[in-house]
Amino acid sequence: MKNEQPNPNSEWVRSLVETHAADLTRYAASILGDDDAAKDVVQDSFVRLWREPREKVEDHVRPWLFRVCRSRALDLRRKGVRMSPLTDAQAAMRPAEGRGPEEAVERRDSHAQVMDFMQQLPENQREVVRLKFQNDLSYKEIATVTDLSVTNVGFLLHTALKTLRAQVTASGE
Amino acid sequence: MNISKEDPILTAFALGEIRDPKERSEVEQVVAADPELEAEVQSIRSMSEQLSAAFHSEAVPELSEFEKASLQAVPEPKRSWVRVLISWPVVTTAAAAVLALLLIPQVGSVRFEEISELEQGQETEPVVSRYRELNVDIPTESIEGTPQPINVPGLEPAPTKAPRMLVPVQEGSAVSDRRLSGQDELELGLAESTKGKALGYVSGDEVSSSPGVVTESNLSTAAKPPRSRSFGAFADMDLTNSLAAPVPQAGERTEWNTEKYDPIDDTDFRSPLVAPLSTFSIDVDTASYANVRRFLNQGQLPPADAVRIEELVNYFSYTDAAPVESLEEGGDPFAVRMAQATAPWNDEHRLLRVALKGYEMPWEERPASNLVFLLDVSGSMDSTNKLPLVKEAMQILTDRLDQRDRVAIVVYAGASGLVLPSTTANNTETIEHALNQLNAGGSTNGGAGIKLAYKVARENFVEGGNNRVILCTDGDFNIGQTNRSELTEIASKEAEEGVSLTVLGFGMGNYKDDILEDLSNKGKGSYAYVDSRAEARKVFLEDLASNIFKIAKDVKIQVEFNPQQVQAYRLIGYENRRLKAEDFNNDKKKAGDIGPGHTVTAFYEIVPAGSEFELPGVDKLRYQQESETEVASGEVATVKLRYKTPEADKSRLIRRTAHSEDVVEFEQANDDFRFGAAVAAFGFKLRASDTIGEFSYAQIEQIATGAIAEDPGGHRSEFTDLVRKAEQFSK
Repeated sequence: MKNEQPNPNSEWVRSLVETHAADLTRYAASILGDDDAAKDVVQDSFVRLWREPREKVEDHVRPWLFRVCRSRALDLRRKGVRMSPLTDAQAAMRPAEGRGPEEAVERRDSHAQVMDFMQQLPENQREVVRLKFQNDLSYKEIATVTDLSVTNVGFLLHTALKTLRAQVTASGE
Repeated sequence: MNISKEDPILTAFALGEIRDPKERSEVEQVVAADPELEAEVQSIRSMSEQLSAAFHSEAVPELSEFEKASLQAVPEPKRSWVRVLISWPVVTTAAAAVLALLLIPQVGSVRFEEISELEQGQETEPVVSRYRELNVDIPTESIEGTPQPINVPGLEPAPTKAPRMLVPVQEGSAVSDRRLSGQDELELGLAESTKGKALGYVSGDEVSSSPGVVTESNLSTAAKPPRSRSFGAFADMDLTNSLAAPVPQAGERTEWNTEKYDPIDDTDFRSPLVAPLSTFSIDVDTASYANVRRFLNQGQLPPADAVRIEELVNYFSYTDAAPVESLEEGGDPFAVRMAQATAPWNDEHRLLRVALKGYEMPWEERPASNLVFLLDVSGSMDSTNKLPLVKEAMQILTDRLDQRDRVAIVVYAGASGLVLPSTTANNTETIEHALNQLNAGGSTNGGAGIKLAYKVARENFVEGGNNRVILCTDGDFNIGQTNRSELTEIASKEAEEGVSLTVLGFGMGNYKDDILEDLSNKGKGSYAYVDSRAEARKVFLEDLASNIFKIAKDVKIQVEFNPQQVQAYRLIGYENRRLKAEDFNNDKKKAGDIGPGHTVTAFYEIVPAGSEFELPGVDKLRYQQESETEVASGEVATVKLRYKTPEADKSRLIRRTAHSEDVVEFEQANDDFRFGAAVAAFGFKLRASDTIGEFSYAQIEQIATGAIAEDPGGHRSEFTDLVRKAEQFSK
């Protein structure tokens, strides 16, 4: 059994895991449709992180992790002939924790509708929408994650929101 | 500035994404001036709120403490951050090493990364498709409230992910390579899929659970003619090594639901003129007794083949003294005692009791342990007397271990997986956590599970330590390549490499005693049956050291009977432990191990020369010399033992002689002798053997009651209850 001094960065990584791992897993799962595959991807991302000098990633570690995570997940999905990803709508139907039952049902109904509309968006729009509204990344961060330009991100988001607003309005009438 | 409703800047503004203050205020002014734009911004904000809410309501995949710990794992703790950079190739190796203990798909995915950058488009199966979530229902909410610090210093290597099950890849490369490296492991995981083979199980039909199936071992005996009951041929002796075909006895050998037992054929008396040598391997198993007890407590007599008399006798602890001479003084690791008395069921006959008593090992002096629990979490284990008992038993065990010892948990069901990477035993919270997450569900793939367990054991091999896989199951191997002979071959091979197998049987209904017993024999470990908390305590507290450590291996006994004193003899029990006479001196021939404090008892029933006894006769041998050496007239038998110390390849010999003048009346024999004889008689009764004549349950009970002695665990008293029950049910 080893009794070594903890790595100076252990605490840092530990806090990163606490803060970001769940979000990353959910994000990867949205690409892969499989929680466990997603966990693998996140695992890989953190292994990657260890290889990176801290000072190089520290100030933008969240988008960095999302970026690595995304590229790994897409890589995996490209090869994942057999995988049948959960659609976003299905994912949204999965109950979230921590709500009272009645409220949850009601919310889930409206959420499901929004997610359903979201699901009909083109994939690149879906992706930025998710990064923006689920993971609270900024345009710039999304651009980093997705390799798009900030302008492009803005355009995609704008278009997506426009479509969604139209659909929500139409469904309300 | 002019902004149309179509301008993305409107969205950026609504979302607070305009970083430049000047630009922001310009847009703000324009929007404020135009109600239509104002409404548009409101609409965007409202939409974004809805989206946020919807997205945030999406379930967040729960990460267990293990998964988190694994994410935090430092690929190579000793290297400084900067050196990591410098020695990048080293780090990748280190990372690979860490990953080696991680689950196979991850290793695979790292591999993918490297491949994909070099060889785009290479056809490879997706990593994730190689495993399937095991139907083990690991509750994701279970970690709440246990924010234990998984700050890995005690774990080596870092803990892998939380309970996750992998679909086992097919056989093939799995066993052939010893000491798999990370790369090998990768191969193990990828072997099938990269070849593009379909994922799937081999049908479990190879070992069907239906009654009457011909398993390989049955087949081999079935092919042979039934064992001759005459003493006609010397070659007859060889056959005693194999299992005999069942003797049809009305009503006695019915299949009980789907439990499976190998047939046991009672040993007949033999003449020392025909078979002067009786050779067998010791057996320290106790499973049969607990199983018999289970039947009786359920109100029925056990099937005859479930009764292995030697396991009944060896279930009890006896007071035989441990060796007086220490190992350092050149003593043997166990003491050999012999005693003779008349047989309680036949005044004419005598019983020869041979008892081995291993030296007691103080718990603190035990060797370091590397234990890999292989837990069956298949659906059939989902009852109160199975998986919960397993957990409880493990808890008892791990409480007694400390930082010198390592514990890992591999589970198997429809798939198999590592739920607890090898962890030092002082990480009690970690272990407990892993245990708490186990739930039964799915069906069994014992084959893949066993391989994974052995692999983990080898990877954490402790030189000179106690390396052991502990299989907890009801033996219901019903999926996967569980050809029985293949499994036992693995167990036997691994035992030679130093990893023993202890088998703990649980539950009822589809208990596969035959496979389990066979496995533990080949795996060179003990086999116990756990049917209750009390039994779990016996196995893991009272007998723990005996069950998981060994002080001597390949212990064989050979008894030579003197025809001048002995007209006939039989060994009671040990039917499936018989060895060929020539195996005794053959050190390559494996036999049973003995643990510290173990008592192993064997009874011979002897018909003294000159008694009235019908034996299918042989003609007087014409060419055999009566005896080559001068024999003291009173010698009944010479008992020889061979054993090896745990690390040795060469056996040592112990020799003792039994003399006729030492025979006492049964009533004069000591408590251990009388109690053991009563248990043996009980075994005969349960097997509906007519070889003890009219001897009744009441007589057995009487003897046992009179020989209870101190009975520390209450086991002997319990025995008398069982005798009463058996009597009741047999009426």
